[in-house]
Amino acid sequence: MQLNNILKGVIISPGIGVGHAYVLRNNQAVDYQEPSDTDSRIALFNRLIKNAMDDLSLLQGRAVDDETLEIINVQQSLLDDVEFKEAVIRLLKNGYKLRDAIHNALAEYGETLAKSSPYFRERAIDIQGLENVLLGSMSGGSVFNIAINDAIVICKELDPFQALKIAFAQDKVKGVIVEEGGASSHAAILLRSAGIPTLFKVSNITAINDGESLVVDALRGFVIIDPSPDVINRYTIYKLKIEDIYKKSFDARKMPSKTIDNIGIDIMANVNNYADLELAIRNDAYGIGLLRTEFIFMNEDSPPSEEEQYEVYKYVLSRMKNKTVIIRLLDIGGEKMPAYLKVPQERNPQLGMRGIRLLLRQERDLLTTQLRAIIRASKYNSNGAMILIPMVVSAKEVVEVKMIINELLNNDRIEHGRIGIGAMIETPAAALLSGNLMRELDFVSIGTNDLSQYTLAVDRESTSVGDLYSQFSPAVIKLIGQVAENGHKLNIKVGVCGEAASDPLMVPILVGLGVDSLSSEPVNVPLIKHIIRNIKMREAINLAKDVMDAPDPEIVREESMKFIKDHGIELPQLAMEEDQR
Amino acid sequence: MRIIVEAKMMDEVGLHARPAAQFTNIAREYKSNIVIKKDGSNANGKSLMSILKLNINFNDTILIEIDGEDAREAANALCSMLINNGNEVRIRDETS
Repeated sequence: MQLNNILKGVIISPGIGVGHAYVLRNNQAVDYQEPSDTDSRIALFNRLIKNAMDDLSLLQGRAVDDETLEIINVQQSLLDDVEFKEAVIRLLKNGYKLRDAIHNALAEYGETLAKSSPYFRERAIDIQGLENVLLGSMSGGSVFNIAINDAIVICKELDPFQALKIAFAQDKVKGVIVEEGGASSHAAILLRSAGIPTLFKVSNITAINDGESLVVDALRGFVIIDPSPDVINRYTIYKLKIEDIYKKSFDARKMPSKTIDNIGIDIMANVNNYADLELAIRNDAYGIGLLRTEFIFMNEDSPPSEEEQYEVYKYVLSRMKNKTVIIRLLDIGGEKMPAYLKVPQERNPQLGMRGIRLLLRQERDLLTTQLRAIIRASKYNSNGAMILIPMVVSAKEVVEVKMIINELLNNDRIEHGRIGIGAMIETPAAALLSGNLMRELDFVSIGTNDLSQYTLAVDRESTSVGDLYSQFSPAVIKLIGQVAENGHKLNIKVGVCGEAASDPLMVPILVGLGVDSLSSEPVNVPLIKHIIRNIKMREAINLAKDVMDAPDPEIVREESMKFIKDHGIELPQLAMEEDQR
Repeated sequence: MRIIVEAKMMDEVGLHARPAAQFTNIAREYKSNIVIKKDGSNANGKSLMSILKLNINFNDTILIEIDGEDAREAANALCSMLINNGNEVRIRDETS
């Protein structure tokens, strides 16, 4: 697979699409003659509203699921809105042209929504979309006229009207890629209901040429541009099998997550953004095992205020209702630094100022602000909020963070829910000291990516020794086993939240080592549950013991593959990956 | 007659677009004037855009003022819709 042709995105609707680019270009002027007097402008406005309402009625007749019908209902209510219509007519009477009147009336609503909470912010596109519906040539009409039969539809932003038409053109649309796009937008909901593989937040994708060959991998979250015939072939062959397995495990998502011999393993989700949150809820994750808060800190020139953070945590905690939410404190360092954080240039940032070191040594205000925002928001979930400390190497760091938390809990008279405190086990030091750390903590979470990198002393990006990096390394497995054992002794829950928890081949080993929960990529939650339901704890324990003595990671991987096959677990994407090796 | 209803939003995304659209569809069936109040701002209960502007979130408390000859019927219909969506509702005031 050629890596340079790959663009990452967030998964909105899982699946695989193979086809050709079909780029939607918005805001093309519609062919209408601007009427010269106010009365004819008002008449034209009423006619445009009526046409759009008629189109929606036609779409309504074709809708089969409740969500789609409800969204059509929202579109109808917005078009037929008394205040909106009055505002436009008022502007027309003041001499505005029709285009400007509609634009100005909608802009006011859009601007107010843009300042609202995350959910309402995403309604802004619904309202801006009305401008396209009424005046643009793209959105008008009830049929999506598309010339090719294997379209990957590409656009900058998708309004619900367009999404509706795309959803109803399922037979011709193999995938959708949106440059921006909101995770809980109505467009996202519609494409999910229609089951069209969809990625949002794919940078610069609209720069692509119409007709370019594409693969949308909305199971792993990327687009392949101009794939080789070989890649197209593989995706075409495996598409149906892979989607079938995902669909079967999705249909069984509400089944208890227990091994054949009845040991419960909680399957949670890692959440990096709002799209992940939506997918985690849809896939019935047991909770959020890792909320990476970096997305709140990345896009700005200045750090987010306490209020801004509070709104985000409140939203996530309340959306998850009574399910566990583990929030990791800001974990940056090395490569991806926002401009407002001044960190010394170091020769080896991976071994330098990052994670809790940065927060305790240099950014105490940032740390306190984040903790306050989390603590204040904790009352919005009946389980409260679990706070996770990144990059711990000693109990002292844990104690220092706990002191700040306790001060906030005692002195500030903040109304709050339950607060749990945990640490990431992602350094060999933390794994070896896990018993000591656990005495200070409510839970721990093993980050396998960094744990593998630090244990093996390998940068996985290294071109010369990157191949030595593997979470299947017996050294990494032994460390995880030690942490799980300490957890059992001290009655502290041990979770795994790194890539290993999303890797079907690592799952039986992790279960056998005795971890209590796995936090995987949201799209994989049902699949991981499916694996859990098909293995026996007793046998997984043996597997874990055996692989600790394996001479190298590749053999560990093979043993696990054999285990999966012996248990009759069908995982076609494994076959596909094997093929690529 | 004039009825004031107090509603606490228990839906985790507040009075978001879909229930708000339901609300306006019901409100528009009645002659009464219907105003939603939150934190000193008002919205026209018959206009979805106006309601969305209020940014009514989880745990927010709103007042719904219903004024007109069919206020009783409108209040009943709106309250049952809000209760069906899991929100807490009570009549705050009634004047004929």
